[in-house]
Amino acid sequence: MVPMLPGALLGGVALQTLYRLVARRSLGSLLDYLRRVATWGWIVLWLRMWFAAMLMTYSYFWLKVSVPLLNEHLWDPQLWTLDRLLHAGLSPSIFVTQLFKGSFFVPLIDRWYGTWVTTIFYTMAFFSAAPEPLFRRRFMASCVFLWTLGSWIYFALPALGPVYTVPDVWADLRGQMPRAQSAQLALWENYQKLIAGRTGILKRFNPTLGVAAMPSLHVGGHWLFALWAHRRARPLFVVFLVATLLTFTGSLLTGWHYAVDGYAGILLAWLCYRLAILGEPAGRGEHQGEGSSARGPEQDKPAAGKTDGTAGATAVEAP
Amino acid sequence: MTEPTPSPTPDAAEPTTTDNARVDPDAGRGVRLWFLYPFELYTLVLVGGTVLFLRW
Repeated sequence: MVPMLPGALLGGVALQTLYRLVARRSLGSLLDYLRRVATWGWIVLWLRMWFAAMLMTYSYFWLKVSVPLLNEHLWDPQLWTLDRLLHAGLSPSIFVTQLFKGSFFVPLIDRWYGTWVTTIFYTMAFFSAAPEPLFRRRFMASCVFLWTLGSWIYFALPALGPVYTVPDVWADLRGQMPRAQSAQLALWENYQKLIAGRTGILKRFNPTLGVAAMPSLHVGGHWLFALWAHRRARPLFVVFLVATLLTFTGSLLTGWHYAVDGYAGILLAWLCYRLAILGEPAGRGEHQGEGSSARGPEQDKPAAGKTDGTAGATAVEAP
Repeated sequence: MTEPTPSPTPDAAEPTTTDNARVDPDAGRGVRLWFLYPFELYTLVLVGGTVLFLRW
């Protein structure tokens, strides 16, 4: 992940710059932001955040891929039943696949779902490149909570996902989602190697290809970003809301997840968001709203009587 | 007759704008435990706990 750091830094600052020019249309805001980025405090916190992100990623992948060795029980039948119970006897997986089969939406969703890692990476880059230290720390705390607690739920409630346990449902879509289907095949082959490892002979496997359905951190990740956007970058809330809806639909259409996985992911994301706000309190000179009283970094309009940008509490509207 | 109370001279004690501008904007910010921010502590506990569990 280290080789990706320059991309995260440049991408994050570029996206923040674009956001200021397009959404806020404020050159002053952009100049304030760029001055802020060019301080040691900003750079050091950025490095600390991405170090935490790397540890989180490492732990996430290894716990996820190890689940078949740690907990052999599978909850797929119960999740399938729960899905039907929650939707008046109708399986959301069957409903969505029958609704969209043969339509342009299937390859579109396949393409969208395939870009999930990219959207997560650049959104993390965007929010971690925000100017306010408190907001950045809270954001990273929420990500760490989501992906570590989520992987522990994988361990507590192991499930493969409906495409592996009820493959007939996706028979009509075969060949229409090449990205999802090739990824599902790769994960299944990796899973078989781990299953074989239960007898003590563990062949070479890829730790980034773990299989787990409950909860859906694809859906949870996008919803977490929507929550932070709602708090700090309101114009982007709709973008992340749509992303969450597309990812949730995609999680059903590709067969990676049950609908309850998506609901659990959304709930977990909200809990992690709240936990991050409670668990990362404001320090001296910081406002709960993540603005700063030390410098007032993001003032579109200077506070009354303060024109130098060095003082005056501000309630900033964007990261 | 009451003596007028001398007014305080806040200007002498207050840092000037120039002084403020020299201050690192991130200095002294945030709640820290030793030198760690809470998010770093959570990361170490959660990741450390996971790694210890997997090795055990």
